[in-house]
Amino acid sequence: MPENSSDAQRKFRTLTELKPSTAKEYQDAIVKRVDYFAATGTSTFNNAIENVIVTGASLFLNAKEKIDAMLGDELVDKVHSAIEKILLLF
Amino acid sequence: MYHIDGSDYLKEKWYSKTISVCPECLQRIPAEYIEEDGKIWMVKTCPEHGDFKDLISSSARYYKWTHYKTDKWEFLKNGEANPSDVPATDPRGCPWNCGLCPEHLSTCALALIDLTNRCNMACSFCYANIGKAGYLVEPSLEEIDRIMAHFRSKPIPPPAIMFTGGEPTVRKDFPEICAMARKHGFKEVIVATNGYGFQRKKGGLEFTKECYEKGLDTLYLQFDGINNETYEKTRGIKNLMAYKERVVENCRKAELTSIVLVATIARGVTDMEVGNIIQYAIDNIDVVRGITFQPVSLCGRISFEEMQDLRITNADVIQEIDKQTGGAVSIENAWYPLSTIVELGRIMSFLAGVEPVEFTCHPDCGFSTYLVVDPETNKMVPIMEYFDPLKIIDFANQFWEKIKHKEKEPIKIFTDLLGNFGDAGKSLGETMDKGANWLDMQQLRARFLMGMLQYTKKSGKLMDMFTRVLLNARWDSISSFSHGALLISSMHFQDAYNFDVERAKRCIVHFGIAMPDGTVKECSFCTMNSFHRPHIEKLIAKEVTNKIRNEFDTTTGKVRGEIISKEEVVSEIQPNGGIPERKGMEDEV
Repeated sequence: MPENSSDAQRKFRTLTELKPSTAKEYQDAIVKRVDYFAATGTSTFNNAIENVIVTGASLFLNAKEKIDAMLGDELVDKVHSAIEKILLLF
Repeated sequence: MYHIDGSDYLKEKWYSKTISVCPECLQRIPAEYIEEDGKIWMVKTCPEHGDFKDLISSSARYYKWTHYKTDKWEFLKNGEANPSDVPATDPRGCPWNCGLCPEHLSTCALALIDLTNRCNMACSFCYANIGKAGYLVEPSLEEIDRIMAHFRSKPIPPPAIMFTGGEPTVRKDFPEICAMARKHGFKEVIVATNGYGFQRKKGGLEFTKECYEKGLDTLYLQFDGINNETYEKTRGIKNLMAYKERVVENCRKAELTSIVLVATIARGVTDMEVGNIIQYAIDNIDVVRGITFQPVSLCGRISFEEMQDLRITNADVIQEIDKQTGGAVSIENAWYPLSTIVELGRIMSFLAGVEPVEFTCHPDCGFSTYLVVDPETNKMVPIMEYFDPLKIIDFANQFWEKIKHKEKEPIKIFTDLLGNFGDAGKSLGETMDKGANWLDMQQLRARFLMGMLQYTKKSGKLMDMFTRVLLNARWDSISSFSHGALLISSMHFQDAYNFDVERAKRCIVHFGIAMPDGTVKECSFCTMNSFHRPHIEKLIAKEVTNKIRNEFDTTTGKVRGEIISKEEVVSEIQPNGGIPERKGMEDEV
């Protein structure tokens, strides 16, 4: 970054200075948007089946994180490759 | 870099050929891409005007990544449905047959309409300037309606429309135009603005609310940095930061929660602001959805040395972002060409039964990344840390190859079997086929979701939303996902020095122009600005009447019927929206 006198007076910040509340603000922005659409009554957020699938996928991801950590990179790659082959069988 | 470090591909010197134009006479000439000193250059020779050389990418490594291909996929793609509007009658070929011509290879993803060439500012580098032009370019409501109908009648219509200018909000009927776009079925209505209508101390909030209620979704807000000194250099106006902050504040109050900050990046002028802009966006995440960096295009005749001082490429911008974010958004792993998600988008829209969006622009046109905050560490990270991107791309490409025929050939087994048993049999067959297709769609959704989730590394609210996008790519899911992430992109528009017809042919951002003969001309963004604009504007130019002056007259202190102090006008607003003083206009209608 430039260091001359006029630049030195400028307001420079870096991403290391994130406010402690930033993560919450991001999540609140999603929640607020979901509420906005849900209020219409016709949104995908009112679909019970989809909500159940999303909850299931979230549980799956939680479990997968732990299983992947246990298996190690090499074994995870082999498992992924095998699953991909099955999923692409048509 | 992107899992391809150490490969022979990165070690080999880049060389390729294309067709460009001579910056002097604008005639088509062959051009070569070569690698020198770790950079990519375009070199070309015009038989009449000599040799030209221009920097294409300041990082050969990154350039090679964006042209990487496997035996299964590559970043260079073509659109699915691109019927031409006009025959290619000019023997010179692209870019001289715009309209669109049969050579065009991409569907329009973003429709543009220039609403006016009036503006409250007079930026020296802007092409839209009523003062310099001496005539008005401003389509009527009927003409705008005609342009919108043209775009929406395409086999794959653009889901989004952007109003450009000049400053679109100087038009009194701007909210009405937003409503018209919504009526035509555009899902995303966007305005490219310096913030004029939205920032006014008196009436700005009401204007923002009115636009939002009528259908405006997003502001592409001109935003060169957070320092007033920067705006003085770029726009020649003092104290513009307060003006920009009023726009953000009024959008917040009006609950118009989608602002994209648009920064024109010029070397030594705004390049030092990229980190500040990202930080500003993060701090205002409740209303800011993204940032678009636009390396400045070079117009007019300049020497090689002058050009090297000014030229800044996408790679320079993302290296600057890397530096100014302390490596949080790294050139080594955060950025992908926009065309990366073409197949992913096709699968999702097919499974959701919605209009697809085709980002089949050339890999040199733009790169993007999503920034998210990791809730566990409260650190900003590229979304690539949530996925295994190359594996997701690879899976999506293979999956689309397997299922794309289903889009055109749904299951018809029972209709064929029972079709010979009269109307009742045919009807039963059709019903059974509907059921079979529904079941087939569910199993495809399940397979696709499983394939994507296995390459997803983290859970949380954002990933829940991503699952919804995969399951059912409806606008409410996509919009909510985008509210939890910050989209950063860098789009480098072409000029005559770096022009490549392969890029022009794949342009996905198209102007629509209502022509005097009642037709609509569709022109890709860079060909319009680099080649066709002067000629087209002369065909559609209108006279600057007193009525026009009165609609936007800041010198008398009246703007849209409201009083603004003289001091404020002087500090922020170009008198008369750039309309030159002219005597003898008082009696004009």
